[in-house]
Amino acid sequence: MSNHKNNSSNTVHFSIIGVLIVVCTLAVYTILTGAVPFTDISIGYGLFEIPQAASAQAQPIDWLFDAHFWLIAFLFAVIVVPLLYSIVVFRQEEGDETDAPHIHGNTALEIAWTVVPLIFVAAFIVWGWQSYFAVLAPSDNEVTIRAQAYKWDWDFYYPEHDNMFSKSIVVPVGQPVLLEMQSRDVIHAFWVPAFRVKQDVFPYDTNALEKNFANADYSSNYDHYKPQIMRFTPIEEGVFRVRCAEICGTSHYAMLAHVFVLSQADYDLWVAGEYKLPADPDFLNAQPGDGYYLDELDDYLNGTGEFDPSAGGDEEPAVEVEDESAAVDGTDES
Amino acid sequence: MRYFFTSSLFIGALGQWLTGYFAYNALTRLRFNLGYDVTPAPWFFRLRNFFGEDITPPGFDEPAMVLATLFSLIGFLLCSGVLTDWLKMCAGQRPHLTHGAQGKPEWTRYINVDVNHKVIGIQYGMSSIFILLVGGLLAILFRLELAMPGLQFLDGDSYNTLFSAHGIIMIAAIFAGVGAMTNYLGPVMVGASDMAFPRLNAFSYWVSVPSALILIAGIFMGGWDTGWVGYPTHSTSTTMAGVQMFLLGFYLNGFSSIASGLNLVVTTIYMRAKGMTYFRMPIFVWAALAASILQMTVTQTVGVALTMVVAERAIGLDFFGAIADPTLVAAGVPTGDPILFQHLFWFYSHPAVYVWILPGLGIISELLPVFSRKPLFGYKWIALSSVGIALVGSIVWAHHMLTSSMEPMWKVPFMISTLFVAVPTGVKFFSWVATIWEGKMRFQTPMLFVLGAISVFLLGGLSGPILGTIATDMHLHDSYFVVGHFHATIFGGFVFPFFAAIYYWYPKMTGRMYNEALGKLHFWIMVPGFWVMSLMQMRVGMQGMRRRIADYGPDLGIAAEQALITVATLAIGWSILIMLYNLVSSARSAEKAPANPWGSRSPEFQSPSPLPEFNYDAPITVVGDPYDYGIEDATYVVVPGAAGD
Ligand SMILES: [Cu+2]
Ligand SMILES: [Cu+2]
Repeated sequence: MSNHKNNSSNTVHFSIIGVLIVVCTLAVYTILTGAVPFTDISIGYGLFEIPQAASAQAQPIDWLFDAHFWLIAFLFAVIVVPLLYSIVVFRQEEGDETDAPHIHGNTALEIAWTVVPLIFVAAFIVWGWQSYFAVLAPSDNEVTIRAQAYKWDWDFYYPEHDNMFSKSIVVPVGQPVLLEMQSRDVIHAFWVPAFRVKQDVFPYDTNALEKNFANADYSSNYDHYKPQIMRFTPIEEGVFRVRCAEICGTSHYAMLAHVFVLSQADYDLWVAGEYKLPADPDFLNAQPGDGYYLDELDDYLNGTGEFDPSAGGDEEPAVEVEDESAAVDGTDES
Repeated sequence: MRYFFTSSLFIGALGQWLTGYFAYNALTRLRFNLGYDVTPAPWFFRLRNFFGEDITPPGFDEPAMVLATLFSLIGFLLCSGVLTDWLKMCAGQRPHLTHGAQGKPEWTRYINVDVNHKVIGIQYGMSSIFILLVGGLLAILFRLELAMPGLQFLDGDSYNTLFSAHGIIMIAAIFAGVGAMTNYLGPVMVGASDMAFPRLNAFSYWVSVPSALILIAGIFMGGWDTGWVGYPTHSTSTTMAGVQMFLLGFYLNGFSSIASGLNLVVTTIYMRAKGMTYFRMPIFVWAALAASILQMTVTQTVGVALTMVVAERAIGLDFFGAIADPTLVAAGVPTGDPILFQHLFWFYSHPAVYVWILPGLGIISELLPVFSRKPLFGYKWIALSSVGIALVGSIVWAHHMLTSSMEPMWKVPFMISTLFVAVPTGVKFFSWVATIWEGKMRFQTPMLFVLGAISVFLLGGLSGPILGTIATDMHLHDSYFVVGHFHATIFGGFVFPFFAAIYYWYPKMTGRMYNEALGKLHFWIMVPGFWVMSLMQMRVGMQGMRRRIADYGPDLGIAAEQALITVATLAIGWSILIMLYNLVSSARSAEKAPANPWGSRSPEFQSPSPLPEFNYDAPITVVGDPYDYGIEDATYVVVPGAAGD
């Protein structure tokens, strides 16, 4: 935009725009996240709020989210500020039918706005790479849980505990989990928003699944056993909802399961069959404001409160877990 | 009315239904006689009403349905007459291209087979708007369902049918809209009198009509619940037989894409006016060329993928592992792999998104200089960025599979290539801003829609990288965030530019001026409505709402946002009805438009409105650059016989 007669007025324009871009970037970041940058102030509403993080894997992911929010805020400002500024300042004046100055292009500028984005791209490649491998990284003391997805439910097995069967994932807080997942029919996906991680569950080797899953020795007998794996390490006690995220037919919307993250002591009790889990709450009957996820159920699980089943219609509030199959039956009835 | 009942449109559609009817009848009788467990029936009507009851007649035969559907397409093509000239050629005759209305009223050209590119362009445009209304109606139905938690009036299957049909029907509408812009504008902008292959051009249009009808019919013939992606093993195993209509309609629409892409590429290469070098073409032609090359080269893979699903369902071939035959597995024969479909599908379907948005971005670049009275900033960079987007866009497909069963390491290169798309896209944005800078902008309706398009496409563009980096995509994949991102991309890259183009070339197409006040009203309802809709979609996705769900739990705390999205959707719907009223009423009664109402330098505005049959009365010559606004007496094209400007 050089070689033009009002170079000095351009300098004024660019100074104003520079200031506005900084202001706009900070404002957009605040609107997106609800947090005023470089301060501890929260405005209480972030347009792109993410659920509170409840897994170790969420930390690198949320860091990357934050980097993206900065990028969005900055690029938004860089485009929108000069655009609106032009509209307000340079628009056609009443009765002016002449053309605007003949500015054809500027090779230096074009190169600049090709190369500078390349730097951003490079940064995000590196960060994207690092965060991805941080999420994939195995831990030493992982416990394996096998998951089977089918229309429209989930089953879980605990190889460590003699392939114990459960309708919910139950893990002690802080325990790294390796999920080995398989589908019996179509593609499903495992997603717990508070854990951030998601993995599609493919129907590989549906034949092997027809055999007794619990007793199968996958390492030697089945060449085709190819589970999809996903890792998460829960860091918050509570109950979290597993949501199937791949369209799988009629009741896809209701294909839910639960992850109970317990204290180590409670978990030991559960393994011993002495800990009550609430029956699978029917989410369609839950009422707004129940908050029964991280409040009431949490209290219930921690033994400090009463789980109020009234929201769940006529289902049973809890199932006595004598042995695992009984728990399943009880849950299925609800 | 008489003209309607004798039109290609009516007779073709009638022929399509009769052929389908008799073909199904004959095929089921044949198969029954051969001993298959099939009830001979006159009709493959397989209906599922909104109460979820399947009222399919017993003995329904899916293979016969597939063949009958294919026959029905042939029935349409034969009855509409689009094949007549080619059949005559096969018989050794040399039919002449016929032009004009053949003694009927002028409007009948738009519902009959016609080889003029402008007529075909307007035919595409009208189809696009009609199909858009159908797809929009479906969206409004399921948006009403989603306005509150709990299932109100749809069940799982009918909801799934509605959103699946919404997706693919909108895609058919977008392809028709792209066809409208490239067909109407392509030849006239390069100074040609028509497309290189006028009969093929007519075929491209007339094959898209029955395929759209097949897609719409699929809703009633069983419906389907696979989304527009149709992933096996769900698509190969679902009991909702409408999935076959979806697959076939999608597949047949591909013929239209390939043929029209090829036609435009040849036209651009060989039929440019004297003096019109590549870098003197109006910028829209560059965008259309890039889109056409993509369309011509990648559509085949989705055709393969869809055919494989059709075959797996209808005759039991095993490509995707739906059939796990124990004896085969025991013998070490690997069954198919569902991931294969996803590769084939996205190898096409990602670039397809660029086929939809590149012409729209071309419209933005085309209109900004006219309404800013300034040259397009960095013409060559914008032109080449279209090609750059097309090239980079061809190697990013697996970013749709970042949570799939692909090897984790193989996801990384696709993350990298995806992030690179930001570079040519950024060039476009920055060049647009620089074009506007110091421009003496006029804010008539087309310019408003262009600015709205930039703002909305920015929203789509900025929400892209966060889906491209694998770690963040693990949270957002298949969430409502993707829905928000995708709609912003398509509205910014296609819908708003398409509407801008309709208003901008409306005087050129009809010879009359639209109503400016109604145009602005349309804009001021639609753009805020869209921003609210898209941002709220992204918000609920961030908070954990999955896409493609008939219901959501109140525990997510997103009920207010959902209600807001529904209200915004309704506002968008009403604003589009305002546009339709404007277009229809202005065509009848509005004042006559001048040849060049916008003071444009583009060649088509140097010829009368509406354009003559062959665009220019004599061949035009290009002597300058297209966007030299701000220079006195800078000439772009010399149009013999043009009045003054
Ligand atoms: Cu599922
Ligand atoms: Cu893509």
